[in-house]
Amino acid sequence: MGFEMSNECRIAIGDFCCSLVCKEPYVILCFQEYYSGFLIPEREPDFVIELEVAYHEVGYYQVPSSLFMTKVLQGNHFSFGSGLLEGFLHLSDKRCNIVVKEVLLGGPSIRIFEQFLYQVYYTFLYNQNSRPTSFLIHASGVNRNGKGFAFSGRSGCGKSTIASLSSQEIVLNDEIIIIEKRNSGFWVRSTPFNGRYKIKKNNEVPLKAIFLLKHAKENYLKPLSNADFTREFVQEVIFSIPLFSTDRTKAFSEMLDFCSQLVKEVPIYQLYFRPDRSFWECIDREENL
Amino acid sequence: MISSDEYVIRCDELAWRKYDDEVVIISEDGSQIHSLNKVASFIWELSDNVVTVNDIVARICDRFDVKKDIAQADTMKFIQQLVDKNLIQLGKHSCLND
Repeated sequence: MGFEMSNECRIAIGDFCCSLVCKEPYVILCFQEYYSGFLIPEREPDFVIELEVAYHEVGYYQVPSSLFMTKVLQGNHFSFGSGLLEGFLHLSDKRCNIVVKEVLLGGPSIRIFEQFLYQVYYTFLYNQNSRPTSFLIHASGVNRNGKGFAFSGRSGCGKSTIASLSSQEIVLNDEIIIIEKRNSGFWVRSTPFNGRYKIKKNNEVPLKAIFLLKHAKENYLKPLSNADFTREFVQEVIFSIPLFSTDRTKAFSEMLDFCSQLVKEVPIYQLYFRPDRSFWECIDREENL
Repeated sequence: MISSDEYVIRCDELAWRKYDDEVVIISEDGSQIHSLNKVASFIWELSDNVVTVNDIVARICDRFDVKKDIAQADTMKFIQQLVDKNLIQLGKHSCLND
Protein backbone atom coordinates (compact mmCIF):
# COMPACT_ATOMS: atom_id res chain seq x y z
CA MET A 1 0.00 0.00 0.00
CA GLY A 2 1.38 3.41 -0.95
CA PHE A 3 1.03 6.62 0.99
CA GLU A 4 1.01 10.19 -0.28
CA MET A 5 3.69 12.52 0.95
CA SER A 6 1.98 14.64 3.53
CA ASN A 7 2.78 16.56 6.65
CA GLU A 8 -0.03 14.99 8.69
CA CYS A 9 -1.38 11.58 9.59
CA ARG A 10 -4.50 10.90 11.64
CA ILE A 11 -4.51 7.78 13.75
CA ALA A 12 -7.49 6.01 15.37
CA ILE A 13 -7.00 4.95 19.00
CA GLY A 14 -10.45 3.67 19.91
CA ASP A 15 -12.83 6.60 19.47
CA PHE A 16 -9.95 9.01 19.63
CA CYS A 17 -8.48 10.60 16.49
CA CYS A 18 -4.93 11.76 17.06
CA SER A 19 -3.31 13.93 14.41
CA LEU A 20 0.47 13.91 14.09
CA VAL A 21 1.80 16.92 12.19
CA CYS A 22 5.41 17.37 11.12
CA LYS A 23 7.11 19.57 8.56
CA GLU A 24 9.17 16.62 7.38
CA PRO A 25 7.04 14.41 5.09
CA TYR A 26 9.42 11.47 5.56
CA VAL A 27 8.64 11.38 9.28
CA ILE A 28 4.91 11.33 8.55
CA LEU A 29 5.41 8.62 5.94
CA CYS A 30 7.11 6.47 8.57
CA PHE A 31 4.17 6.96 10.95
CA GLN A 32 1.69 6.15 8.15
CA GLU A 33 3.46 2.89 7.43
CA TYR A 34 3.84 2.02 11.09
CA TYR A 35 0.18 2.67 11.91
CA SER A 36 -1.18 1.29 8.64
CA GLY A 37 -4.73 0.02 9.11
CA PHE A 38 -5.50 2.65 11.73
CA LEU A 39 -5.32 5.78 9.58
CA ILE A 40 -8.47 7.87 9.43
CA PRO A 41 -7.61 10.86 7.19
CA GLU A 42 -11.28 11.81 6.81
CA ARG A 43 -11.89 12.25 10.58
CA GLU A 44 -11.57 15.60 12.28
CA PRO A 45 -8.83 15.20 14.88
CA ASP A 46 -9.66 15.29 18.58
CA PHE A 47 -6.11 16.27 19.41
CA VAL A 48 -3.17 17.53 17.35
CA ILE A 49 0.49 16.80 18.08
CA GLU A 50 2.84 19.18 16.30
CA LEU A 51 6.08 17.29 16.17
CA GLU A 52 9.59 18.49 15.51
CA VAL A 53 12.53 16.10 15.33
CA ALA A 54 15.78 17.09 17.01
CA TYR A 55 18.73 15.44 15.27
CA HIS A 56 21.84 14.53 17.18
CA GLU A 57 24.95 12.39 17.07
CA VAL A 58 24.44 8.62 17.13
CA GLY A 59 24.75 7.22 20.66
CA TYR A 60 24.45 10.63 22.29
CA TYR A 61 21.22 9.76 24.13
CA GLN A 62 20.19 6.62 26.01
CA VAL A 63 16.56 5.55 25.65
CA PRO A 64 15.03 4.37 28.94
CA SER A 65 12.70 1.36 29.02
CA SER A 66 9.89 3.52 30.31
CA LEU A 67 8.96 7.17 29.92
CA PHE A 68 6.34 7.10 32.64
CA MET A 69 8.57 7.53 35.63
CA THR A 70 10.64 10.30 34.08
CA LYS A 71 8.02 12.93 33.39
CA VAL A 72 8.67 16.39 34.76
CA LEU A 73 5.84 18.90 34.65
CA GLN A 74 6.18 22.65 35.03
CA GLY A 75 3.03 24.57 34.16
CA ASN A 76 2.05 23.42 30.70
CA HIS A 77 5.59 22.28 29.89
CA PHE A 78 6.35 18.58 30.09
CA SER A 79 9.57 16.70 29.67
CA PHE A 80 10.15 12.94 29.45
CA GLY A 81 13.40 11.04 29.76
CA SER A 82 15.53 14.08 30.66
CA GLY A 83 14.52 15.92 27.52
CA LEU A 84 14.23 13.03 25.06
CA LEU A 85 10.73 14.30 24.44
CA GLU A 86 9.51 17.64 25.63
CA GLY A 87 6.88 20.16 24.75
CA PHE A 88 3.96 22.31 25.72
CA LEU A 89 0.37 21.24 26.22
CA HIS A 90 -2.37 23.61 25.03
CA LEU A 91 -5.32 21.75 26.45
CA SER A 92 -8.01 24.30 25.57
CA ASP A 93 -6.82 24.20 21.94
CA LYS A 94 -6.60 20.39 22.09
CA ARG A 95 -3.06 20.35 20.84
CA CYS A 96 0.52 20.12 21.97
CA ASN A 97 3.82 20.87 20.32
CA ILE A 98 6.71 18.56 21.02
CA VAL A 99 10.38 18.23 20.19
CA VAL A 100 11.50 14.62 20.00
CA LYS A 101 15.09 13.46 19.90
CA GLU A 102 15.70 11.45 16.74
CA VAL A 103 16.73 8.36 18.70
CA LEU A 104 13.21 7.99 20.07
CA LEU A 105 11.65 7.65 16.62
CA GLY A 106 13.99 5.09 15.12
CA GLY A 107 13.82 1.29 15.26
CA PRO A 108 12.46 -0.36 18.39
CA SER A 109 12.55 2.94 20.34
CA ILE A 110 9.29 3.89 18.64
CA ARG A 111 7.68 1.61 21.24
CA ILE A 112 8.97 3.98 23.91
CA PHE A 113 7.66 6.97 21.95
CA GLU A 114 4.27 5.28 21.95
CA GLN A 115 4.17 5.67 25.73
CA PHE A 116 3.79 9.38 25.03
CA LEU A 117 0.78 8.58 22.82
CA TYR A 118 -0.70 6.57 25.72
CA GLN A 119 -0.65 9.73 27.82
CA VAL A 120 -2.15 11.72 24.94
CA TYR A 121 -4.93 9.15 24.79
CA TYR A 122 -5.60 9.47 28.53
CA THR A 123 -5.48 13.28 28.16
CA PHE A 124 -8.30 12.97 25.65
CA LEU A 125 -10.29 10.72 28.00
CA TYR A 126 -9.84 13.01 31.00
CA ASN A 127 -10.86 15.94 28.86
CA GLN A 128 -14.13 14.14 28.09
CA ASN A 129 -14.85 12.79 31.57
CA SER A 130 -13.57 13.47 35.05
CA ARG A 131 -12.20 9.91 35.08
CA PRO A 132 -11.52 7.47 32.27
CA THR A 133 -13.95 4.70 31.40
CA SER A 134 -11.46 3.13 29.00
CA PHE A 135 -8.03 1.82 29.81
CA LEU A 136 -5.11 0.71 27.71
CA ILE A 137 -4.16 -2.81 28.67
CA HIS A 138 -1.00 -4.76 28.06
CA ALA A 139 -2.76 -7.74 26.49
CA SER A 140 -3.62 -9.43 23.24
CA GLY A 141 -7.22 -9.32 22.11
CA VAL A 142 -9.14 -11.65 19.83
CA ASN A 143 -12.64 -11.44 18.34
CA ARG A 144 -13.82 -15.04 18.00
CA ASN A 145 -17.27 -15.28 16.41
CA GLY A 146 -18.39 -12.01 17.94
CA LYS A 147 -17.00 -12.79 21.40
CA GLY A 148 -14.10 -10.74 22.69
CA PHE A 149 -11.29 -12.38 24.64
CA ALA A 150 -8.37 -10.62 26.30
CA PHE A 151 -5.15 -12.50 27.11
CA SER A 152 -2.86 -10.70 29.49
CA GLY A 153 0.26 -11.23 31.55
CA ARG A 154 3.90 -10.28 31.88
CA SER A 155 6.23 -10.08 28.90
CA GLY A 156 6.98 -13.56 27.61
CA CYS A 157 3.75 -15.10 28.92
CA GLY A 158 2.48 -15.82 25.41
CA LYS A 159 0.37 -12.85 24.27
CA SER A 160 1.88 -12.77 20.80
CA THR A 161 1.80 -16.57 20.62
CA ILE A 162 -1.94 -16.52 21.29
CA ALA A 163 -2.38 -13.89 18.56
CA SER A 164 -0.41 -15.82 15.98
CA LEU A 165 -2.30 -19.02 16.86
CA SER A 166 -5.55 -17.09 16.35
CA SER A 167 -5.00 -15.91 12.79
CA GLN A 168 -8.28 -17.63 11.81
CA GLU A 169 -10.06 -15.20 14.13
CA ILE A 170 -9.93 -11.40 14.13
CA VAL A 171 -6.85 -10.39 16.08
CA LEU A 172 -7.33 -6.97 17.65
CA ASN A 173 -3.76 -6.60 18.86
CA ASP A 174 -1.08 -8.74 20.45
CA GLU A 175 0.37 -6.09 22.74
CA ILE A 176 -1.92 -3.22 23.72
CA ILE A 177 -5.72 -3.28 23.66
CA ILE A 178 -8.44 -1.01 24.98
CA ILE A 179 -10.97 -2.28 27.51
CA GLU A 180 -13.88 0.09 27.62
CA LYS A 181 -16.82 0.34 30.02
CA ARG A 182 -20.08 1.09 28.22
CA ASN A 183 -23.69 1.05 29.37
CA SER A 184 -24.02 -2.35 27.72
CA GLY A 185 -21.00 -3.77 29.54
CA PHE A 186 -17.30 -4.05 28.82
CA TRP A 187 -15.93 -4.01 25.28
CA VAL A 188 -12.50 -4.81 23.93
CA ARG A 189 -11.02 -2.76 21.11
CA SER A 190 -7.98 -2.68 18.89
CA THR A 191 -5.20 -0.15 19.14
CA PRO A 192 -2.69 0.84 16.47
CA PHE A 193 0.24 0.13 18.80
CA ASN A 194 2.56 -2.54 17.52
CA GLY A 195 3.64 -5.79 19.03
CA ARG A 196 5.01 -8.62 16.92
CA TYR A 197 1.74 -9.59 15.22
CA LYS A 198 1.22 -7.18 12.34
CA ILE A 199 -2.05 -8.40 10.75
CA LYS A 200 -4.25 -6.86 13.40
CA LYS A 201 -7.61 -5.32 12.52
CA ASN A 202 -9.26 -2.12 13.74
CA ASN A 203 -12.21 -3.78 15.41
CA GLU A 204 -14.26 -3.89 18.62
CA VAL A 205 -16.38 -6.55 20.30
CA PRO A 206 -18.11 -7.20 23.66
CA LEU A 207 -15.61 -8.59 26.16
CA LYS A 208 -16.51 -12.16 27.11
CA ALA A 209 -13.56 -13.09 29.35
CA ILE A 210 -10.07 -12.17 30.47
CA PHE A 211 -7.31 -14.74 30.79
CA LEU A 212 -3.99 -14.39 32.56
CA LEU A 213 -1.60 -16.56 30.59
CA LYS A 214 0.80 -19.24 31.72
CA HIS A 215 2.69 -21.64 29.46
CA ALA A 216 1.97 -25.30 30.27
CA LYS A 217 2.09 -28.80 28.81
CA GLU A 218 -1.69 -29.16 29.01
CA ASN A 219 -4.52 -26.69 28.48
CA TYR A 220 -6.71 -25.88 31.43
CA LEU A 221 -8.53 -23.00 33.04
CA LYS A 222 -8.20 -22.13 36.69
CA PRO A 223 -10.58 -19.75 38.48
CA LEU A 224 -8.92 -16.80 40.21
CA SER A 225 -9.96 -14.84 43.27
CA ASN A 226 -10.69 -11.21 42.54
CA ALA A 227 -7.68 -10.10 44.59
CA ASP A 228 -5.31 -12.56 42.90
CA PHE A 229 -6.54 -11.47 39.49
CA THR A 230 -6.27 -7.79 40.35
CA ARG A 231 -2.76 -8.13 41.77
CA GLU A 232 -1.58 -9.52 38.43
CA PHE A 233 -3.84 -7.65 36.05
CA VAL A 234 -3.45 -4.13 37.45
CA GLN A 235 0.23 -4.38 36.54
CA GLU A 236 -0.85 -4.75 32.92
CA VAL A 237 -3.05 -1.66 32.95
CA ILE A 238 -1.15 1.19 31.31
CA PHE A 239 -0.80 4.00 33.88
CA SER A 240 -3.77 6.26 33.31
CA ILE A 241 -1.80 9.47 33.66
CA PRO A 242 -2.72 12.33 31.33
CA LEU A 243 -0.14 14.79 30.04
CA PHE A 244 -1.15 17.44 32.55
CA SER A 245 -0.65 15.28 35.64
CA THR A 246 2.01 13.41 37.55
CA ASP A 247 -0.42 12.17 40.20
CA ARG A 248 0.32 8.45 40.19
CA THR A 249 -1.70 7.69 43.33
CA LYS A 250 -4.84 9.06 41.69
CA ALA A 251 -4.13 7.04 38.56
CA PHE A 252 -3.51 3.85 40.55
CA SER A 253 -6.74 4.37 42.49
CA GLU A 254 -8.66 4.68 39.23
CA MET A 255 -6.96 1.61 37.83
CA LEU A 256 -7.97 -0.37 40.95
CA ASP A 257 -11.54 0.94 40.66
CA PHE A 258 -11.58 -0.16 37.04
CA CYS A 259 -10.42 -3.65 38.08
CA SER A 260 -13.17 -3.72 40.74
CA GLN A 261 -15.82 -3.09 38.10
CA LEU A 262 -14.23 -5.51 35.68
CA VAL A 263 -14.16 -8.50 38.06
CA LYS A 264 -17.84 -7.97 38.88
CA GLU A 265 -18.94 -8.23 35.26
CA VAL A 266 -16.38 -10.21 33.29
CA PRO A 267 -15.31 -13.83 33.91
CA ILE A 268 -11.61 -14.04 34.82
CA TYR A 269 -9.34 -17.07 34.59
CA GLN A 270 -5.78 -18.23 34.61
CA LEU A 271 -5.26 -19.98 31.27
CA TYR A 272 -2.56 -22.64 31.22
CA PHE A 273 -1.95 -23.30 27.55
CA ARG A 274 0.04 -25.35 25.08
CA PRO A 275 1.45 -23.39 22.16
CA ASP A 276 -1.06 -24.70 19.62
CA ARG A 277 -4.65 -23.91 18.69
CA SER A 278 -6.06 -26.49 21.10
CA PHE A 279 -6.34 -23.85 23.83
CA TRP A 280 -9.46 -22.61 21.99
CA GLU A 281 -11.13 -25.99 22.62
CA CYS A 282 -10.45 -25.51 26.30
CA ILE A 283 -12.11 -22.08 26.20
CA ASP A 284 -15.02 -23.38 24.08
CA ARG A 285 -15.68 -26.12 26.66
CA GLU A 286 -16.07 -23.64 29.52
CA GLU A 287 -19.78 -23.29 30.29
CA ASN A 288 -19.78 -19.59 31.13
CA LEU A 289 -18.16 -18.66 27.85
CA MET B 1 11.27 -1.75 67.69
CA ILE B 2 7.52 -1.26 67.69
CA SER B 3 5.85 -0.01 70.83
CA SER B 4 2.34 -1.32 71.47
CA ASP B 5 0.99 2.13 72.36
CA GLU B 6 2.00 3.66 69.03
CA TYR B 7 -0.65 4.75 66.54
CA VAL B 8 -0.65 3.11 63.13
CA ILE B 9 -1.37 5.01 59.92
CA ARG B 10 -1.33 4.02 56.28
CA CYS B 11 0.95 6.08 54.02
CA ASP B 12 -1.00 8.68 52.04
CA GLU B 13 0.57 8.08 48.67
CA LEU B 14 -0.63 4.52 48.31
CA ALA B 15 -3.54 3.36 46.21
CA TRP B 16 -5.42 0.40 47.62
CA ARG B 17 -8.75 -1.35 47.27
CA LYS B 18 -10.49 -4.24 48.96
CA TYR B 19 -11.63 -7.18 46.85
CA ASP B 20 -13.89 -9.47 48.86
CA ASP B 21 -11.81 -9.95 52.05
CA GLU B 22 -8.43 -9.17 50.53
CA VAL B 23 -6.68 -5.84 50.07
CA VAL B 24 -4.48 -5.00 47.08
CA ILE B 25 -1.99 -2.14 47.49
CA ILE B 26 0.06 -0.35 44.84
CA SER B 27 3.28 1.26 46.03
CA GLU B 28 3.88 4.96 45.44
CA ASP B 29 5.94 4.47 42.28
CA GLY B 30 3.84 1.57 41.00
CA SER B 31 6.77 -0.81 41.14
CA GLN B 32 5.29 -3.08 43.81
CA ILE B 33 1.87 -4.63 44.17
CA HIS B 34 0.99 -6.17 47.52
CA SER B 35 -1.99 -8.33 48.32
CA LEU B 36 -2.98 -9.05 51.91
CA ASN B 37 -4.83 -12.04 53.31
CA LYS B 38 -7.98 -11.73 55.41
CA VAL B 39 -6.34 -10.97 58.77
CA ALA B 40 -3.69 -8.71 57.27
CA SER B 41 -6.43 -6.84 55.38
CA PHE B 42 -8.30 -6.40 58.67
CA ILE B 43 -5.20 -4.83 60.24
CA TRP B 44 -4.67 -2.66 57.17
CA GLU B 45 -8.18 -1.28 57.30
CA LEU B 46 -7.82 -0.46 60.98
CA SER B 47 -4.58 1.46 60.40
CA ASP B 48 -6.11 4.91 60.14
CA ASN B 49 -4.20 6.74 62.91
CA VAL B 50 -6.96 6.47 65.47
CA VAL B 51 -5.96 3.06 66.81
CA THR B 52 -2.79 1.85 68.51
CA VAL B 53 -1.05 -1.47 68.01
CA ASN B 54 -2.70 -2.60 71.27
CA ASP B 55 -6.13 -1.63 69.95
CA ILE B 56 -5.52 -3.64 66.79
CA VAL B 57 -4.51 -6.70 68.80
CA ALA B 58 -7.68 -6.42 70.88
CA ARG B 59 -9.84 -6.12 67.76
CA ILE B 60 -8.15 -9.16 66.23
CA CYS B 61 -8.85 -11.21 69.36
CA ASP B 62 -12.50 -10.12 69.20
CA ARG B 63 -12.86 -10.96 65.54
CA PHE B 64 -10.76 -14.08 65.10
CA ASP B 65 -10.28 -17.22 67.20
CA VAL B 66 -6.75 -16.50 68.43
CA LYS B 67 -4.95 -16.15 71.79
CA LYS B 68 -3.79 -12.67 72.73
CA ASP B 69 -0.06 -13.45 72.97
CA ILE B 70 -0.08 -15.04 69.52
CA ALA B 71 -2.14 -12.20 68.05
CA GLN B 72 0.24 -9.65 69.57
CA ALA B 73 3.39 -11.33 68.25
CA ASP B 74 1.95 -11.82 64.77
CA THR B 75 0.55 -8.29 64.61
CA MET B 76 3.85 -6.70 65.69
CA LYS B 77 5.71 -8.77 63.11
CA PHE B 78 3.29 -7.86 60.35
CA ILE B 79 3.27 -4.16 61.22
CA GLN B 80 7.07 -4.14 61.17
CA GLN B 81 6.96 -5.63 57.66
CA LEU B 82 4.57 -2.89 56.55
CA VAL B 83 6.83 -0.24 58.08
CA ASP B 84 9.87 -1.73 56.32
CA LYS B 85 8.02 -1.58 53.00
CA ASN B 86 7.01 2.05 53.61
CA LEU B 87 3.36 1.13 53.56
CA ILE B 88 2.51 2.38 57.03
CA GLN B 89 3.99 4.72 59.62
CA LEU B 90 3.88 4.70 63.41
CA GLY B 91 3.31 7.73 65.58
CA LYS B 92 2.96 8.70 69.23
CA HIS B 93 -0.14 10.78 68.61
CA SER B 94 -3.49 10.16 66.98
CA CYS B 95 -4.83 12.48 64.30
CA LEU B 96 -7.83 12.91 66.63
CA ASN B 97 -5.53 14.95 68.91
CA ASP B 98 -4.56 17.38 66.10
